[in-house]
Amino acid sequence: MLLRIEKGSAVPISRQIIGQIAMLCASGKLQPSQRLPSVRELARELAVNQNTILRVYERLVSDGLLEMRHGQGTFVAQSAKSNSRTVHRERLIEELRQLARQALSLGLTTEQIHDLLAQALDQLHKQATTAEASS
Amino acid sequence: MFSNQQQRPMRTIYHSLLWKEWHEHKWKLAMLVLVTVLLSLLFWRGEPQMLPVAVTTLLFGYSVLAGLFLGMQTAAGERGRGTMPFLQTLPVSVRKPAAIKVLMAWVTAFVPVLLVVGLAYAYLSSYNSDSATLTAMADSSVPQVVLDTWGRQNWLLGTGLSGILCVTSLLIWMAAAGVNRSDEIRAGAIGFLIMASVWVFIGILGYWAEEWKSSSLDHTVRVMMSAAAGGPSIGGGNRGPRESYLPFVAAAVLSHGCVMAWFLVSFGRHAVRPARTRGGRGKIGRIDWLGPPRKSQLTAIIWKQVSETGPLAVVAAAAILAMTSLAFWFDSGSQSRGSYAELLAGIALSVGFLVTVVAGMGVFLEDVKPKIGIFRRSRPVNVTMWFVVKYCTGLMVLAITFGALFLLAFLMPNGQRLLSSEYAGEQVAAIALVFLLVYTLSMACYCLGRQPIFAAVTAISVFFLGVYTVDFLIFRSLPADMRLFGALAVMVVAQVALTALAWLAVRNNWGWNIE
Amino acid sequence: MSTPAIDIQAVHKSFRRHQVLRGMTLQVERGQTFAFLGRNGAGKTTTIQLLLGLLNRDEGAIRVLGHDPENEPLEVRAKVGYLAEDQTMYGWMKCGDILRFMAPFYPTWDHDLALKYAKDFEVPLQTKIKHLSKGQNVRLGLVLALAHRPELVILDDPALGLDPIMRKQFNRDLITHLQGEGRTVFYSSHLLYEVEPVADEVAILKEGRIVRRSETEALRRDVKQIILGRQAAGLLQEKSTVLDFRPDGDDVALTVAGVGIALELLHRDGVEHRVVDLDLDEIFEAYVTGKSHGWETAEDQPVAIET
Repeated sequence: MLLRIEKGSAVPISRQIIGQIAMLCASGKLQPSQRLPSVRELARELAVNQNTILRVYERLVSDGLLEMRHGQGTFVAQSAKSNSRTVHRERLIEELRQLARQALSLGLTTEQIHDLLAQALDQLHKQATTAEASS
Repeated sequence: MFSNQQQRPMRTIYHSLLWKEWHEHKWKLAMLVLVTVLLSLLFWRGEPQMLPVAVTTLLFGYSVLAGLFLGMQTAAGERGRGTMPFLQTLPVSVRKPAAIKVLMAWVTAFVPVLLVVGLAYAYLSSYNSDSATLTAMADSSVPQVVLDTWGRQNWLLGTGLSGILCVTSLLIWMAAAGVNRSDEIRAGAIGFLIMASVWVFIGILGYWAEEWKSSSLDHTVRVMMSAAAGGPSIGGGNRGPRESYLPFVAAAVLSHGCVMAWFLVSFGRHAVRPARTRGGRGKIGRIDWLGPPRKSQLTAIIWKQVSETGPLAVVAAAAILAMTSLAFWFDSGSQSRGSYAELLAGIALSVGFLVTVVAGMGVFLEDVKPKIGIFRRSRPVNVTMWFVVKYCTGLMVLAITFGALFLLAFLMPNGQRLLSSEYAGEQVAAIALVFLLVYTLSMACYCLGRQPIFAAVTAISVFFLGVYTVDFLIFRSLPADMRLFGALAVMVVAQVALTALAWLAVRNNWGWNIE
Repeated sequence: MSTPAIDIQAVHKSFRRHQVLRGMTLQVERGQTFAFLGRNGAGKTTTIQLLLGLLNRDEGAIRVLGHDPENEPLEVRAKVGYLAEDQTMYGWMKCGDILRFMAPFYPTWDHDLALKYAKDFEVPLQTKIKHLSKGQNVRLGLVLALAHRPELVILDDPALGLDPIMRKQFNRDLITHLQGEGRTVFYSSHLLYEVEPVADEVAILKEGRIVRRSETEALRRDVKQIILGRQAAGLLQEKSTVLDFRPDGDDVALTVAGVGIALELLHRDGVEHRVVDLDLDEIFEAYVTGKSHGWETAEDQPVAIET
């Protein structure tokens, strides 16, 4: 499991770790019933406070991504993939809100913002079809 | 339990402390023993009638130097190396390490005395000498006070005991007077100042005793002398014919007990404040190393050196004047009293020797400390200038101070007699050159060993070996008219070699951290 | 409710004319990893020296593991593991020697444990201390601080002079061996971003007083920068805690603590504003060098570009 902490970033460390584990679950890199490192091991590996890791695990358990099996450790939950999608959606919505706020403060109107979003989606579709065509 | 027997923990706190202090003192003991034995053998040169002179000179010279330098080391060794904070955080009252430290220093101090006395005894008993001649020699060379205290027959034992008392007293006084200073040189200077002040005070009282012809004050003053640094070595020798030993012994025991208690209580008592600002106390921080050599940079270096060597020289000058006055008064009853000028010159020469050794050590004291040294050495353009300026400034300070003292001696009544000999000019030049040699030698020894005791012992012993070598090579081998030239030639060669050695040691950071 | 590991009450300490601590109050609960931050010269080392009984306070009360360091300094030092800033030990001793040397001073010294830590931290027992690298020196110091199984470990800027790799390794060791065994850790530093992943709580020392104490992640949530018009800023000034300001034409950027309350007020009054998240260095800067007043008349400052 590859996690990367950015020290000094504006995003708190626990949120970084939660986000990255959720991403791994969503992308399928972490399979259901896969065992995660223990709190101690992960804390040591990342050089992060054990309590922080504990809180991260607890949060992920309550979000439905992980499950703690007594005496055996922490594992990826069965419904992790779908649950993580939910978590990700929430995060995405928050980020979109931020983005919208920034765009508005730049003086863009709602229509202009919609236009820009449509353009971006267009470009992505085009890239996807070009990639398909060349393979 | 432990895979390697050597990894067993120490059993008690005392075991740990004794082990540590013994390790730190054993090389000093070895060095001192080696030097004293070598010098004793050199001085005697196989002539039994030289024995009393040799033993007396050696022991008293040794006692003063060893007492002072070991005292300096005891007082400020930990702080000088920066390990005092570590010692202070141990869960033990800092008095215990202090006590063990002074104990070990004392053992290091007196063992060489025992050895010299032992060797002398062995020599005497193996050599069937005429005891009358020996006793006569002893009479003329061993100080009267020693003979009076211990008896004429026991001159050797007496000299040994006096030596031990002297070194013990100086060790205790210097350790207490220099306690908690930031390095050994400062401890030495301040300690010496305090000890000399006590003697000055006694001297003043003695002067009054003589002025007012008060015998009770005179008696008090003589008792007080036993209490001062080095005083006990005089023993009861300066007591009057019907006076009891008791007040002298009591004064000595009481004062030294109190001084020792002061040392134990003060040692490491306060936390060392972290030296945050490098700009304080004239440290290197003020000099802009990244800039080109400007006139102001030179001035900064000169000023810094003056502020370090200056106080030492001033203290020494004051002490010399005080000691001369004291000796002048003390000798007032004696028939072989010299003039004030002669006394001043004599004392200035002997104390000057010591001060030059200490000053030489101090010039590059900071530069050989690892952190500062590396910083400075990474700027090669300035090193030679740095060396030359510091060397010359320190030398100038000493030259001015001692020049002033000698000038004073010359101007005093009967002062012209000092320079009456036909070789006066050469003598003055020779003395100046010797002092220059000692200064450079002490500096080189310190740069190479980074340890005050090592520097002092090495410098002084190399100096005496050098004197012996010159004597052997020049004065005994060459014809009379070539002697002066020969001696001067040797000294000049030595001076050049030593200066080059000191410069190279500073520039290339040669040296071992002797511990 | 057990007694705090460290309890400092209204402590004053001055050196000659310089007052270092003025009414410092702080408690550290057992089992916590507590980071103590301040600029160089703010008084962190002085505080630690007071805790160990190396200095005596002018006023106030201190209790360390229930003992008063002024009256019982030896008991405190026997129960506390201490690693000093830039610790100078006896260069001539080998690492194995200094462990043997230290053993009898501590009643709870476990020599097996000391040797085990030495192995874990890769401290070479046969090497003289003067030949150790900086990182090895710090790790040796850590072995010495831990071998007597102390309940409380005090570290004074231990990562000073270590390169980033060594610092990370040091943090790892701290987490595994100290947090992992439930010890209380009191850790002073001036690098907030270094300390944040590791500490449970931080306290910021400024001008001899604690100006902020909170859980590390809460600090980030609580202190942010709000950019708004000068007039509105004036109203905000009265109602919340402003730490620092930066004028910007008609606007001014205020660094605010307790940002939740401030934002509520702004929303309620419908004031236009922008919120900027700050990184920990900026938060630290705001607390220790920020000026809370004077933006009303301040002019625009020259733009400082930081990469």
